[in-house]
Amino acid sequence: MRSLRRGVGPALLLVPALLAADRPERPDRDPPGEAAALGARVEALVRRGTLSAARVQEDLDFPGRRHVRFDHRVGGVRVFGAQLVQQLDADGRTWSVSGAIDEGLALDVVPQLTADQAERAALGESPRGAIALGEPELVVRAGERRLAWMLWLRLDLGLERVFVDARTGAIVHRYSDLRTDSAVGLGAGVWGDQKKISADASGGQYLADDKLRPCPLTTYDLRYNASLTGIVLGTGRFDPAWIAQDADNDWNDAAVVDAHAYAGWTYDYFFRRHGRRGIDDQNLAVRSIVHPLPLLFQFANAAYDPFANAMLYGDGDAESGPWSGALDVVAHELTHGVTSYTWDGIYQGEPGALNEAFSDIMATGAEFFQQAAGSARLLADYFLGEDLAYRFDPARTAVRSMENPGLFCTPQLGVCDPDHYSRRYLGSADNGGVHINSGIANQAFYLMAEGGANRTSGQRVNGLGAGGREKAERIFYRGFTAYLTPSARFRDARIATLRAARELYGEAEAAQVAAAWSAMGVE
Amino acid sequence: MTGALSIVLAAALAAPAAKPKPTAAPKTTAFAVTIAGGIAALPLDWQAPAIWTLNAETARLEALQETPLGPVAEAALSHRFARRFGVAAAFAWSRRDGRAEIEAQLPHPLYLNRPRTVTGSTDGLGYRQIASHLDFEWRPVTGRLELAFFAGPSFVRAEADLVERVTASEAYPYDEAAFASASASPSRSAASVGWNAGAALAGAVASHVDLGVQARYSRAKPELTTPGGSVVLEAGGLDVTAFLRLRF
Repeated sequence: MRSLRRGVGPALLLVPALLAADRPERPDRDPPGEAAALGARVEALVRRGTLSAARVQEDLDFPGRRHVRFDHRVGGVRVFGAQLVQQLDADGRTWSVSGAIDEGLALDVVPQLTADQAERAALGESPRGAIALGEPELVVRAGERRLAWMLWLRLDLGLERVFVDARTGAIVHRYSDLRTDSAVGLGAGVWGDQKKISADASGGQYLADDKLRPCPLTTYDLRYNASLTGIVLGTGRFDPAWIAQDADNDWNDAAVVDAHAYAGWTYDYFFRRHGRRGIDDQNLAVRSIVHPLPLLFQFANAAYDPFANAMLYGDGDAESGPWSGALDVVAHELTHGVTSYTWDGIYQGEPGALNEAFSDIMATGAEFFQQAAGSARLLADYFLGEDLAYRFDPARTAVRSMENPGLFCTPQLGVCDPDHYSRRYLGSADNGGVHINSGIANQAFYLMAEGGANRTSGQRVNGLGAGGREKAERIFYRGFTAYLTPSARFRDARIATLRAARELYGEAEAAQVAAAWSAMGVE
Repeated sequence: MTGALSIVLAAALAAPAAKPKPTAAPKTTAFAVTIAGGIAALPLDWQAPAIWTLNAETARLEALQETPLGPVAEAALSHRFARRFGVAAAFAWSRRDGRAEIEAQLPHPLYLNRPRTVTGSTDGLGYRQIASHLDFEWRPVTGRLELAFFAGPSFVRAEADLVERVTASEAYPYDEAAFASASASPSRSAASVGWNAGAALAGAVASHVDLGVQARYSRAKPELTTPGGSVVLEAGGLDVTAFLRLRF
C-alpha cells in the first residue's frame, strides 16, 4: 500500500486484520438463513406470474452459482425498471435476493391506443427526421401507476427512449438512451466546485463508471464499511453493486465526485502530456475507492494498492476533508500505479523516496495541466495536498513542498524533509524515509522547472527557461519510466534524467538538469 | 396545385391562337376573380439561434438559413367601384426549400466551459408562407390593355423549419468535434401584419377573360420563437406571377 503521507495511521493497519475475518462467502459454506425465505418468496411470486425470469447469468467468480434476473409484471405487462435478482448455487439454494418491487401494484393493463397510434404520437412530438425503431412495448411505469407504450426513436446519431401514455397518447417521459451522451452528469466536489461526471446510465441509476475515456474508470463507494474494504483489498474483486451511484446524475457525494473526476483528469494528463494510456499504457482499469472506513476511524490519508490496483481515499479527520478532494493527491496515487507498471521502484529507502517523488512530480504536473497557477485553493502550485485541509494555509497544512521541502517536518523523528542529499534521513521509519527523502528529487524538479537556489548548498540553478515545467515533467517521465530500475538510487535518477534531457531537448537542457541535481548534492 | 394552375394558364393562353380574331373591347364589370401562378422572386434569409442541453451544459448554434426562389400561387377577388378604382382581396401561397449554414458551440463531455466549435450546413429546410392582401387599386390605363397599381395591408403567416440541434462526431480526448448532421424542429410558425404594393398589366383575350402579369412586393415581420430565443423574418418578398382573370 503506497500512501501519500508518512506514518500510516491505525485505520489502515486494521485492514489486514479485517481481511482474514471477512473473506467473501465460499461455495462450501451454507447460505444465510434469511436467503432461503426470500428464495421461497421469489418462487411464490413466479408462480403467481408477478415475476418472470428475464436472464440467467453464470457466476464466473464462484463456478456453479448463477444469478437469475426476474422482471416484475402486472397482468402480464412488464413494469419498467423493476427487477429482482436471485443468486442460486448449483444445488438450487438461494444465497441472496436483491432489488425491490411493489407487490401491491395493480392497474388496468388494457391500452386505449394501439402501438401504431403510440408511434405516430411519439413521432408527431419529435424533430423532423426521427425514426421509430423496433416494435413499441407496453409497459407499466410503476411510480406513476401508468400504462405506457415504450419505444425508441432514432434521430441522426441520437437515440431516445419515449413513453407514450397508452390511454391519452401524451408523451409522459423521454430521455436520451445513448449511453455515452446521456451519462454526462454534474457534481460538486469537496470544496463546492462544479465538475462533470462521466457516468453510465444503467437500470434507472447513474453509475460512476466512465464510458467516455478509453479505459475503464470506476469509482466504488464502500459505504464506510471496513469489512467490505477488507474484502475488496484482500481479494482484488470489485462487485459492480459497489460502484458509486446517483439517482439523477446530479451528484452530491463530494468524495465520489472528486475521486471520479480527478482520476479522469489524471488519465487525461498522462495521455495528453506523455501520450500514455493509463496505468499500464494499455488502458488498465482505473479504480477509486471512497468511504473505505467508518468516519470514527479518522482515516486521513490516501493510498494506491498495487495488488487490488485501486486508489483508496480516506474521509479525513478534524483538520482535513475527504482526501479525494485534492487533484494532486489523486494524481499522486494514480502515478504509483504507473510506477508499478514501469520502473516499479522498491518502496523502501532511496528507490522508495524516488517512487514517492515521481508521484509528487507527476501530480504537480497534472495540477498545473488542469488548474490555473495560483496560491488559493484549487489552484496549481508546488505544494502537495494543499487542498486537503479545511483551513487553507499551504505552508502549514499541506503535506510537502517542492520549493522548500524543509517546511514540513516529522516531529516524532526529529527531522524535516531534506533539501540536500547530505541531509537525507537514514533511519528505518517511514520505510526508510520514503516520504521524507522524496524532498531531494522534488526540489531538483522544482529547480529545473522554475530555477532558483538550494538553501543548503547555496547553488543557483537557472532552470529550463520558457516552458520549463513542461520540459521538466517530460524529462522526469521519460527518465524514470524508461531508464530507472526498481532499486534505483538518487544517482541513478540523475543519470536517467540527464539522458532523457539530452534525448528530448539537447545539451543546454541537460546542463540545467545536471545543475539542479548538483545543487541537491546528487552527483 | 401549381400543376393544375399551369394547365389552366396554358389552356387560356392557347385560346387566342385558336381564335385569332380580335375580341371586342372589354365590358366594364364590377367583380373579377383572378388566379395566378409564378415565382417568389427574392431569396429570403435569416439567422436563427437555438440552444439545447448537451453533456450537462448548454449547447448553442446560430443558423444562417437561406430560402431561394420558389413557386407562388395566388387567388384574388376584386371589385371595381369606379372606372379607374377598385378594391381586391388576394390570398397567396408559396413554398420553398432552403438550406442553412450552421455554427455551433458544443460542450466538452469531460470538462466544464470548454466548448468546441463546429460548422456545417444542411438543406431541405422547408419554408411556407400564406399571405392575405387587402388592396386598393388604381387603373391609370383602361381598355383592351389595362394597367393597374395597387397597395394595401397584408397579413402574412410564415412557417419555417428551423435548425435546432446538431450532432458531431468526436473521439477521445474530445478536444475537437466535427459536424455530423443537423436536425430541424417541427415547423414553427408565426404571423404578422405588414403591407404590399404592386402593379399588374392585363390584356383581354375574351369578353370576360383577361390574361396578364403582375408584380407584388409585400413585407411583414412575423417573429418565430426558438429554444434559443426568437427570430424575426423579413417575410413576403417579390412575387412575379402570370394571371387569368374572369370578369363578371
